Amino acid sequence: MAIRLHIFSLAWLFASALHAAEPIPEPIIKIIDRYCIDCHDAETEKGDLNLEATTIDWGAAGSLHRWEDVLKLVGRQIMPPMDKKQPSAEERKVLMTWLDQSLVTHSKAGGAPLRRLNRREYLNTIRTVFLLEDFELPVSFPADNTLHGFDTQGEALVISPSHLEAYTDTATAVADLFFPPPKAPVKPRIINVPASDLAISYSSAALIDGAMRLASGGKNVIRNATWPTKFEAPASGTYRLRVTASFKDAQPPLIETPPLLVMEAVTAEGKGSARKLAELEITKERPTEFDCEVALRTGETVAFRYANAPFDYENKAAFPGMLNTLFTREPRLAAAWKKERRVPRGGVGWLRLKKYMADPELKAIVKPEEIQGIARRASGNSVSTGETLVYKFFEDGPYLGIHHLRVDGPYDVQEDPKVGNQYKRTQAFVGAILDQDDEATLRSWFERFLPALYRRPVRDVEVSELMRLVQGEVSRGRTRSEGMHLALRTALVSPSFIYRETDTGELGNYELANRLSYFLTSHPPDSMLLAAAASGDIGDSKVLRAHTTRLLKQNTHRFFVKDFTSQWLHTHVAESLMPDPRLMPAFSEQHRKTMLLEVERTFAHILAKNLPLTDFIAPDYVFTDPLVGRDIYKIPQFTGSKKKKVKKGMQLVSVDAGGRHGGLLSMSAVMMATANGVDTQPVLRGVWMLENILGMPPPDPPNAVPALTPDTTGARSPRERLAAHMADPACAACHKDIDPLGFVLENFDPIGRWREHYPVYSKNEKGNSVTGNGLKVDVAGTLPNGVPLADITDLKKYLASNPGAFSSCLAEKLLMYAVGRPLNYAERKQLKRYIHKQDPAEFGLQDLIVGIVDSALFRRR
Amino acid sequence: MQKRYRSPLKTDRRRFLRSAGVTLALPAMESLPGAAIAAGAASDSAPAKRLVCVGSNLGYYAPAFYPKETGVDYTPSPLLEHVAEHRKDFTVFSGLDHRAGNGHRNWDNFLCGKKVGSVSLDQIAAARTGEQTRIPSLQLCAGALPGNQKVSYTQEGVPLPMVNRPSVIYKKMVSTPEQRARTDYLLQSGQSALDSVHADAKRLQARVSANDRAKLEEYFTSLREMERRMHRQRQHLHAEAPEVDYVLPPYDPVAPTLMLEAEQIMFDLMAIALQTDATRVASLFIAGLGQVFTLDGVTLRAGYHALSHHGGDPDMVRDLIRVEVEHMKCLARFLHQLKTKTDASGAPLLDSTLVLFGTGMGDASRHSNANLPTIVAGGGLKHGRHLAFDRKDPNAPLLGDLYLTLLHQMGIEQKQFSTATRGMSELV
Repeated sequence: MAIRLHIFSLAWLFASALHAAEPIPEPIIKIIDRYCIDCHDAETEKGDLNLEATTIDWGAAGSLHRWEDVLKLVGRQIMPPMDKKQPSAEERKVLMTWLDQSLVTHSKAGGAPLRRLNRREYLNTIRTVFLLEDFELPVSFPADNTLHGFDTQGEALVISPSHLEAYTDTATAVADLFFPPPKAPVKPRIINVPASDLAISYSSAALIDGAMRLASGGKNVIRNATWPTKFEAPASGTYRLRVTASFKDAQPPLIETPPLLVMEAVTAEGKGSARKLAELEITKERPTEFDCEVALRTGETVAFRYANAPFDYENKAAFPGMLNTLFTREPRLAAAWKKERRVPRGGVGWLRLKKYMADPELKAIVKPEEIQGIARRASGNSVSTGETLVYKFFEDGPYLGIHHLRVDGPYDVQEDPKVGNQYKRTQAFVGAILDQDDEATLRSWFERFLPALYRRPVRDVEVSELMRLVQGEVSRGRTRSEGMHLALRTALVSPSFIYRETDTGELGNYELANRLSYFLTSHPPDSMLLAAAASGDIGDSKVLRAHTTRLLKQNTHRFFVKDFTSQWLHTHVAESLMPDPRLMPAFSEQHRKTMLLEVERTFAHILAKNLPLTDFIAPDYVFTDPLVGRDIYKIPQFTGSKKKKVKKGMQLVSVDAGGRHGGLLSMSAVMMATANGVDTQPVLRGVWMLENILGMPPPDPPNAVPALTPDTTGARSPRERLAAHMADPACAACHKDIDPLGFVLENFDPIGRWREHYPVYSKNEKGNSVTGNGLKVDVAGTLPNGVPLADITDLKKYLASNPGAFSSCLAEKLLMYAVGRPLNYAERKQLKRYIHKQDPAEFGLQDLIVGIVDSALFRRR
Repeated sequence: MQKRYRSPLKTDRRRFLRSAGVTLALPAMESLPGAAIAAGAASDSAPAKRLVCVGSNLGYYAPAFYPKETGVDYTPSPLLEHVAEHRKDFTVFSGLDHRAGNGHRNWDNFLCGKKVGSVSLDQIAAARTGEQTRIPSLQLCAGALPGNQKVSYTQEGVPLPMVNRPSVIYKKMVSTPEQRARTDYLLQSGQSALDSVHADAKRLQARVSANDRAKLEEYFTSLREMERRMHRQRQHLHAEAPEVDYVLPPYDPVAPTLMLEAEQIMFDLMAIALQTDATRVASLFIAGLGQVFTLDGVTLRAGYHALSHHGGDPDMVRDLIRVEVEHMKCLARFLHQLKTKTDASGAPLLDSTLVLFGTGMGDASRHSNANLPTIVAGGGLKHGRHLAFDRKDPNAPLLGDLYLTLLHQMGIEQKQFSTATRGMSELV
């Protein structure tokens, strides 16, 4: 076996963690007594910290964590507070050196808590093992707690009775797919649907003189169709329909083509595929019966639509012209429309219009330009106008009337397509064992299935136990399918399936394969990884590295990219934020999608090309599409004339390296996720940057600090409001680090657009909201180490030429995500040392990930 | 075709539970030894044992909802007129809300408080009562299932799915022998297989570190709890099912136009569920979007959603109130049922059942989530008044304060609900 190349020195890994109190050296006690003890004695215990002791039990719970905090706060000069007596530089150094050495000595190696599959891993594992690509967990399946921003942390991944219940429900759902319980046959039945049992949704239809009338030609079922409310196909099959329908045109006639009654498959709720079932030409005014046969699937019903009705308010382009023609033909209608300033929507509005038209005083409007104006205004809100005016057509025609529907079925009952697939799947999955009842076939099936489910070789006893369950059911007179159903259910709630890493100390070959696979694919290990685990080669550094690069090239690495980046950068928050419509009325889901995709595409690009980590800070490209490129980033090639030829879709666009655009610190999804959709909060963004870019999380804010109330009048700038932080030494200790980093991002509004001014919102004389320029955004500041920042470009330049902090931060986040626990002091120190040894211009993201995987830290619990 | 099922809006009392018809082979849970012990907890002495929360998607037209006068002698508003027969048994509130933001998404504040996704009022109660019943809590929806709005959130922040098919709920409460056999089989076989699961966990326990063994306790504890629950479920299943003389229509009223019919059935099913002790906590979402209703044989001339965006137009408002009156009638009918049905001790169900009837929508016309119309009935609280609060007063109570009092009434000593900490002493 090849010699393992450990990145991290092993010295600290085996440092003993003695559970005995060690004395604190005299010089340290002196410093503590002089500068700390006034507040942190046993009595005052400010911040729940008591430093009044002469010994430390490093093995005691929380001990390392507490002293690490002391080191951090003293090191960053947050403690002692600025308004208190300060230690000399020498004293500070003595204290810090002692703490550093003590923490390194006493940090325990490894120690990830026993970890279960999280929700994502659990679902992906079921999908993979059972070949159920589209399987979804029940809605009630509990979400995972996150810790340190990640859903992979063992400490947070608890198991509660609700989890076991959810596992049981899921297991039953999976078992039902392969061994479905028998279903009772459905017999044909005749159902009569009177017109009054047909749905009206918005202004889709109107029940007049015993017929449900249809008059609008749009495609949207919920706005233009009617359907039986009390009939849903009980099974997939053929249904014989008898439709009684009629047609009436307006006087004088308006139609040019024979009216088409289109039937489509929808649910009783009016949703679904709207798959076309049949089409009838209805021309007679007298109600006439039509017979047809349609194929419905379980749960569907039949929607009726007047497909070629001349009145169509969903056709936005043609609607103004249509209204113009209508108002020209009906000048009194035009006058009535004009009279009512805001015509109510629907039939209420139509009644109002009719009342006006009945008034002999009403003067018809005949001037074409005036009519045109009314038509144009009315077409502005086409849906509202359409829902009102369609009532005219319900009354005067052209309309189709549905008088009655008779449904007879199902005949030729068919397996639902889903069920059919399941049958095939069952055959593929369990194969011969359902027909052959010998023990050997059954055993060999479990010997194949269980290792896939448990992601490791299984012992005989594990196979025998499940076999006993099957045989037990059979012996009780149940079928073998029922026995298999039970065995599947049982295996799916067993700890062997639920838990991921159970080895103590150094991970075994299979657990290493599991850790690597869940890290880089969020899925269980594939056959190649399992083979490497079986042969034992996986422990070999070269093999492990090769598998790492292999997995990063595979399609499944996209799960890692999405799951890791969205949690690391908090961009998952942007998935559900609704930006204030005043900010950008045209903000659409497509904007959001592109913004989120940019994060993944950027990470994937740096990964695939093994680009240096500084590409996260100041790259010369962004990934975007014409929509976000135009509306958010305002990149010249996407703005301006609409006729300009622009490449469609997501694309790599060149920008100036270190300029306004490009990198995590200018990314719109990040800016959105670190704001609240309405305004920006520099403190939140500053904390985000310290935590996720610089790896220097600030301590928790003290209790009982009032939140800053947003100043909606725009009279005071955020900087003025935050000045309070700097005035109070207790706040300033941390906010001198936080606030400058937050302010430097103030040029980005809550959806990531560049701005020079804060917006002020007001209303114009029409009552519409208008946005104006308010106070100028003031972003200048100074980093704690004295580096001046004029704006974000200065920060990018600084971080690009000093990438150590960012690189260490990213490395730490990756490791935490992978191993399921936070790193301890000694591990972080080792990691930093490793990062600083690399040449930033050469060291790429792939190198980092390979390096992390091939480390002692990754290889042990 | 013979029309057996007229719209319940016309048939009024037809589908009432005939009290003699509801023969409870299992009059109360006391006959279940295991459950009786579980129920012997502190909440037994609490005045309220059940909680029903009803929320309407589009809210209520405020001028028609709130009475003009406060206190005992208020004149019923146009909407309250329809529940006036029960005025001694409920309190109407104005000026309550969670001081949360506006917008479609914030409808969910209704039972959560200021933060959407916090554990909802009903689920706090269900955590206490759910153990003692076959179904921990019911989440129902009248009409089409909403795309956005959620009513009930678990402790973990998971929105609970709602059921809008009466047939599904009915089966859950009163299952057919075949269904019961299947459920029983799944439970019984699952129980028998727990030994294998336990053995697997034991094998794991034997080879992991001391720390892991402590963590693995989570699994063992959960397993034991699940075993207990399965046992309890089977006991419930084996105890003869309550015979409920209630006829559902042969179709599920999930079509948008049948929402009001669905609403009435859902209220009825809740009454049955409480009476048979199938559950003690239920929430009901009254959906409502574009559907056009037919009331008293007259088809309205605009969809419910369009009406709710009335913009002050008197004709729209008139029709909107007509729809909202139907919700009030449902409430009146429900309260009547809870007064005539009795619990195991022979007392009216309403005496020990809290009914919260409200909405997450303050003013649908403006999408405002301030000043949420709210009614609370029953549960042994002091009722009969219109309690009006000035939400501009910084010391005014929050809706959460009312919720705290509801929880206290159920014997759940919680100090805080969302941002509310004071409770509402006026009711006790």
